[in-house]
Amino acid sequence: MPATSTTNPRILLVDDDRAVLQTYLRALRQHAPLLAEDGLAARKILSETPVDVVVCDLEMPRMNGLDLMRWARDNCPHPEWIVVSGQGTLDAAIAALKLGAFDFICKPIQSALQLQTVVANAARHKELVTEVTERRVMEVAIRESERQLRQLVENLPELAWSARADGYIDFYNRRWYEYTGTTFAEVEGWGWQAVHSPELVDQVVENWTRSLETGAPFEMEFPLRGADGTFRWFLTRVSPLRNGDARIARWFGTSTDIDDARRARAEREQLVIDLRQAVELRDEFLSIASHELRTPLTALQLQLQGTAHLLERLNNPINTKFLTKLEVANRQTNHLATLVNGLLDVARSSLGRLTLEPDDVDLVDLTHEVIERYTPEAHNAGCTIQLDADPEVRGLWDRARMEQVVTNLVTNSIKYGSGRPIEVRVTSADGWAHLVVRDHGIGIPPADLERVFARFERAVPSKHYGGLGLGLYITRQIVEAHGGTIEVSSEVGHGATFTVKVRLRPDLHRHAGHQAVNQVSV
Amino acid sequence: MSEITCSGILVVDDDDDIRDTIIQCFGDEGYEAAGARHGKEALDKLRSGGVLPCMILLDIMMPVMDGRAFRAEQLRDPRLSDIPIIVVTANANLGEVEAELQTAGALRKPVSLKQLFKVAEAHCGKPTGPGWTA
Repeated sequence: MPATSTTNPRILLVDDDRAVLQTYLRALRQHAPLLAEDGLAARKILSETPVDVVVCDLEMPRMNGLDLMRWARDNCPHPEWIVVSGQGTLDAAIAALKLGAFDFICKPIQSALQLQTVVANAARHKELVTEVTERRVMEVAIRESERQLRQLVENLPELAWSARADGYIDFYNRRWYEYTGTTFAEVEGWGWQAVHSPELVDQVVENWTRSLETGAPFEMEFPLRGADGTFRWFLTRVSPLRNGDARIARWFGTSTDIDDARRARAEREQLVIDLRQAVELRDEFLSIASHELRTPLTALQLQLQGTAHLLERLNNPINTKFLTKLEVANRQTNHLATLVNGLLDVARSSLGRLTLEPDDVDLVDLTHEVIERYTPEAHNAGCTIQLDADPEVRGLWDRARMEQVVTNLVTNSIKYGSGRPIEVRVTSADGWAHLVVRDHGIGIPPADLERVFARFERAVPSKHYGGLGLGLYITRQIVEAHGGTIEVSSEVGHGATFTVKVRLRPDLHRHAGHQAVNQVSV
Repeated sequence: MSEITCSGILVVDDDDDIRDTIIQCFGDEGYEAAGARHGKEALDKLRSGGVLPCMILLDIMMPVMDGRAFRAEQLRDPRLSDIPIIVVTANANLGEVEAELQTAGALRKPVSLKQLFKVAEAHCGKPTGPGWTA
């Protein structure tokens, strides 16, 4: 039996003798061979169909075997040739072998087995040749793609390298050598540790070893020593390249210089820290300063009140003049105290120390008291204040802070109300308290509506209106610390309306106001 | 109702300016007033004999002995425990402080002269001294 091949070879039988062809056909029936009765017919088949083995008579009319072979060499994928020579065509047979024929058989053919064996050998040879050729083509392609990859890697701006599956580095790109100033011999395998910083090298080795064990990609930031001896930070990423069977074949790594970005990031972070500290320091100073200012102010206020009290008691006509002066001094001192308290509140709220002490408060009652207190001031400014309120609006709030809110809004409306009537409304609905303070004064330009609640801001030139511009800022801090909202709507020349909404029972934590802490943005 | 007779007011506050001003104002009005810089000094003064005050104005935050500690000591001393205390605090919730220290009253910082005279009159009656005269 002929050696069987894994694939069924395609066979072409060429002979001008039909009887011979029939003999061949019987021997090779299992391969379903193609038949041609002369060279031209064979050429036609060969140009149309890929054939593995040709059994070809040398002596044929029109086109003989050798001519057919010569034509085939340049015009079709190379089949294996078995030439059949009769007596006296030995020279032709030798010529055929020189042309690359695989074998030759002398006529008459001894047996079917002989033919089968020769054809099988040729077929197997053809198969081997094909395999070798294909492999060679593939190798060339691989080599070419490797060359392209190498060129790509060599020209990368990053340091790049590759390692065997066991982590032994056997290639570094040009950039690596340029940066580190090392030679391959120095850094081959695990020699790269020489350019790492002593503090981090153990960690790098540990992480790299773990990646090698688990097959997980490696990513780490570490410094590498340059040729000039200074270290720069790199971000290094290494990925495994896996075979068809999912086993790791190689590792590919790149190290990207992130030194500048890292330094910039560190500087930025430091700047934010410094800025925060500066802001905190300023607020701390404000807090201490205003606290310290308060004590002598209180003593001063008491002295002024005491003096006025005595003068009243003595009831001497000349004292009236002194009383008027004292009243002015007293008013100025009170004003000073308000400013100092404002500063303290601002400092506290930005330090997150605006504490709330919830108490059962009737907002209507409280508003009524405030309005009563400021009626003389309103009178001096030529306005009236009208209160329109529910019988009571009770809630759980910090009494003093809520009083501050009402006071700030009422004094604000007196200040900017242009002597026109002021309306105050206190109502409640659905668990919320509403406080609306409306004046008909100068109003606020649309562009400034957002700013009025900011620190040290006011919507009018400070030349015409005194104060530090803290009132509405503190008011909003207090309202928000109570979990509420404050809004303003206004039309220039037609006054402003401030609307405060707070829950009747807000969820108050003792130290509210943290939302205002150090909002530093860079 | 029998007339309350004043036997003086003790002002306990660590701030010299505030304390002296309050004492001076009480004096001008015709009340006897004395001062102590902290709870310990106040206790020493009260225990050194003599007439007890009819009211103590007590600050909370003080060095050496604060207002709370003083109040606790005072309540332990049967000779002193009945003296009415008016606590002066920065805490807005006066009711809470009053309840905690069981005081006769509480004033919110900063105090006004009107408030001081009001509590003095309530606990010491009308001033008995001549007060300030020209």
